[in-house]
Amino acid sequence: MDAKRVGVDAEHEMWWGQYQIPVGAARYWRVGALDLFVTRKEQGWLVQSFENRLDDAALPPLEMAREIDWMPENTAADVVHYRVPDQADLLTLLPRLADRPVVSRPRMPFNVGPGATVTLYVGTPLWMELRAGNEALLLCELPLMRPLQTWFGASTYEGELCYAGRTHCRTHAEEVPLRPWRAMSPLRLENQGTTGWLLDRLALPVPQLPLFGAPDGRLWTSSLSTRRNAEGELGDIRIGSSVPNEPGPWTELGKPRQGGSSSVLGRFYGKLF
Amino acid sequence: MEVAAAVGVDRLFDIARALLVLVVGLMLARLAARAAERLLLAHQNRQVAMLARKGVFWSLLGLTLVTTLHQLGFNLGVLLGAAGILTVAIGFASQTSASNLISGLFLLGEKPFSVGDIITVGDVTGEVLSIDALSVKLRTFDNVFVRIPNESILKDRVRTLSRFPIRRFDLKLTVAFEEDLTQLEKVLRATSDGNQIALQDPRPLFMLLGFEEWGIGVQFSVWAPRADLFTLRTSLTREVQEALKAAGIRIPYRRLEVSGPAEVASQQPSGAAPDER
Repeated sequence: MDAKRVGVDAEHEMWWGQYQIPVGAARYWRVGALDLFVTRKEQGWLVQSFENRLDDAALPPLEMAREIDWMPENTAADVVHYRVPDQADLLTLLPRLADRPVVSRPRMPFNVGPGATVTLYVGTPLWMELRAGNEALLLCELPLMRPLQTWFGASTYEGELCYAGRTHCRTHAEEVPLRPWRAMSPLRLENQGTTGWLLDRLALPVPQLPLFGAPDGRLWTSSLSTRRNAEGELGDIRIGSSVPNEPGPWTELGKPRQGGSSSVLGRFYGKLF
Repeated sequence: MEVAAAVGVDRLFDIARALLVLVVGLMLARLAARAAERLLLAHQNRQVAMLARKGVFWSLLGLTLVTTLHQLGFNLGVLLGAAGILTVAIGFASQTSASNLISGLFLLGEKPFSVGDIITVGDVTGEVLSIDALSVKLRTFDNVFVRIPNESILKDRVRTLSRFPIRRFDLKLTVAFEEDLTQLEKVLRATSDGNQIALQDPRPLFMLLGFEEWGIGVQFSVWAPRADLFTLRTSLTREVQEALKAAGIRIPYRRLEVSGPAEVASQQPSGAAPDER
């Protein structure tokens, strides 16, 4: 039986959506660094996942719901049998933003000149959420590319655990390669000061951002903005509530994990850069 | 006869009243203690709430007992006098307990740790189960119950391992004198950069400790989330060992050069035999 996909355009690289998998059938996905094998059992789902240790550039192309008749024997893989009451054949895959802020360091020093305004496109890693049945019961969340960890704070005893990332500090959306295992965040920086603004690190409060998907397979968060005033002081970060400015149409795929700015980032944003 | 009967009835009334006071007082003490605990749990930690419950209960119980005795016609002045003498006697007899009790109060005020923290006192490391009036109870990692008197905690040096969210692991190694130290630093940094547990910031610290007997001492300090420190210790040590092997950097064996007349040098006394470090 064909891997039937419900309600999405399979030609594009949109790995998220609903899949119908009959009892006894197995499917394989490869998104980012994740190898995922899902088998539909009589009363549940068998999920085998394996994280490859590869760089962004070395990642193989996407595989979506390829039919397989065997499960690979991989001792390093995680195998979990989920028994769920909902007996429907539906499997829903959804992208999720990180559950902690992501601190990205520019790959090369980036300086916002005096009086300049610039929009940077910063990528953050995504997780895949597996939900089963008509009621979409949550089975698990798997990282599409497990990020490294870092500490963000004024000292080693005050701060917050974050994920670490590197950014190319791209200033044009079209320069950003299509990577459906990452979400892009447009960050608008306005320097009203009389000296240059050297960006050391950018901390994005991704748990407070909504996630949007475009038909071409790109994933975006809402936009962010901040400014540095004439005295050189950094303002608070502002989260745009609307969909990204880039051409749509956009589908909202996920609400923010956290509401408000209760995290340390809200308070320490002045030391972000 | 009638008078005697009336006195007996009065006495019975007194006893009944005293019993009633005792029962009601006990119930009140329990209720008030529970209420105090619940009220404090919302704002304070478990330890303070537990202490408040005990404090309220014993105070109210004391009051109830005094009232009951009064109802029974005891002269409390005499009793209190006797209690004073008794207290002095008990005080002398239980100096250690009193010292622990006072230390417990200081501990509660200072709060160097609370229930659930991991602490090291002397050579014992474990999770704090409770901080009581006389002692602190720990559960060690190999699941042994340890009771430490409050007095010794107050006197001794206490290390609270679970106070801050991140901790540092110091990997110490010695490399041969002839190794390229710049390459060594590169190899070590690449290892920590690829480790999933190691934090990227604060940056790992590479430090040369100086010339040692068998080679050059190196310290590589890497930060990790507190809960993952032991996992980091194992994974990083393994990865460093593999990386050093791949890069051809040697961790030296102990060597001893013996010089002197040829026949002495060739004898190789047992103490000079090379042993593996």
